[in-house]
Amino acid sequence: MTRVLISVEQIAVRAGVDTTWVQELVQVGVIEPEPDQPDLFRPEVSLRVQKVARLERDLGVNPEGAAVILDLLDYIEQLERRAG
Amino acid sequence: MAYKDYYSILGVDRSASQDEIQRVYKKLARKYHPDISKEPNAEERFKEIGQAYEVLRDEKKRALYDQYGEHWKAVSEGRTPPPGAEQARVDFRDLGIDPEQFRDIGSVFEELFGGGLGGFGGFGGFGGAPGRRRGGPRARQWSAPGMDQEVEIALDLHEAFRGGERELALVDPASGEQKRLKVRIPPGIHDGQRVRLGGQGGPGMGGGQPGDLYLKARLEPDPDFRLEGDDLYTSVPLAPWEAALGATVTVRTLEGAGRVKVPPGSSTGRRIRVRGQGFPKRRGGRGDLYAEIRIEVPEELTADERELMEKLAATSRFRPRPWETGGGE
Repeated sequence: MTRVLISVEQIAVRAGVDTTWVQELVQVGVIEPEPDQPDLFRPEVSLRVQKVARLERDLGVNPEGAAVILDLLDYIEQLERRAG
Repeated sequence: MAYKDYYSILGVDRSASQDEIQRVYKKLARKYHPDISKEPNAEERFKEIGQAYEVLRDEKKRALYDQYGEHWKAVSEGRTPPPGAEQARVDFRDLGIDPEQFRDIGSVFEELFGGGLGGFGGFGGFGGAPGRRRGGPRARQWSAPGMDQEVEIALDLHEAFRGGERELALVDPASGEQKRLKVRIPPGIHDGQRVRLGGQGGPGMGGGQPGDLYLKARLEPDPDFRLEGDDLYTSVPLAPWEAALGATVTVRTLEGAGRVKVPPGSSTGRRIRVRGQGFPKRRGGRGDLYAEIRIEVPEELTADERELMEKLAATSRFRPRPWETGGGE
């Protein structure tokens, strides 16, 4: 499978936010680049950024808080699946 | 959408204070935020709550609303309210709210074939212009790409294992237009893994690119197999004598059946590894299948079986419970 990766600029355009804001998300570890490609991200990252932006806009949650929420939601989903 | 009273949407009294309205709104917004909520109609509720709040938060709009109900807007623009009660629709595009937030009307997905599909993508949002606070996200004004959307796609273990094409129908609730999409599910897709469909997400504005659509796989529990990582687990019922003496038995695999050799003296819980019969791995190869031994006994014994079992019970020195001292009983 070919690997599609996207840049901070592409993420920013897709999410309708400033590049600097996306860079801040990288700095605080809310999103992470590919291990072997320090400036590139998997396309799903753009989805995460959009969720973080919406949570900030709609609920006033800061990006780190939004990241905690999204990670916990994933974790809950995993637990629910496992419980079947 | 049928008209709904803004007070009842928020569940507050008409005499509620501005503080109370804000408090209730914030609480409901947290509960129904489509990125968080697991409520089935979260997105719709969230939009409704946002619409109600946009009016009730503003004392001027609220006063007009209290007086004219759903026709408050026509009145505020100097028009006479229409005589028919159902005609006036509140259009928030005219209220000085960034129309960009509405660019995503929220596509609804229906699955044509196979199991159910719980959509939670495509959501516009409401709570005021984004990023007015320092460092926050800021909307671009010139053109905007469509939003990425995410929907869940339910797959049973066999479908996930095989992968292959699926057909989805995307319905735009605003226009009722339907678009069919053929989707390739990669073999061995895992729970929570996403398939990206470039350009199939929300439409762009002002020449902006459409967003992407992500299908998030949800693997349904299987009665015969359990998946852990790339390895599969399946149970193999054995008769007590098969477990004690060893046997070659048939196990279920995702491709049908296979034979495994059970070594003598296999108790419940023992796992026999069948190499390469698990799930496809992302980087090639396959996980393993583990056949888990489970000893079963006949519900009723024939006279012969009973005699043999009793003989065994009398003869055997096997002590399955080492903590019991003496002769048992």
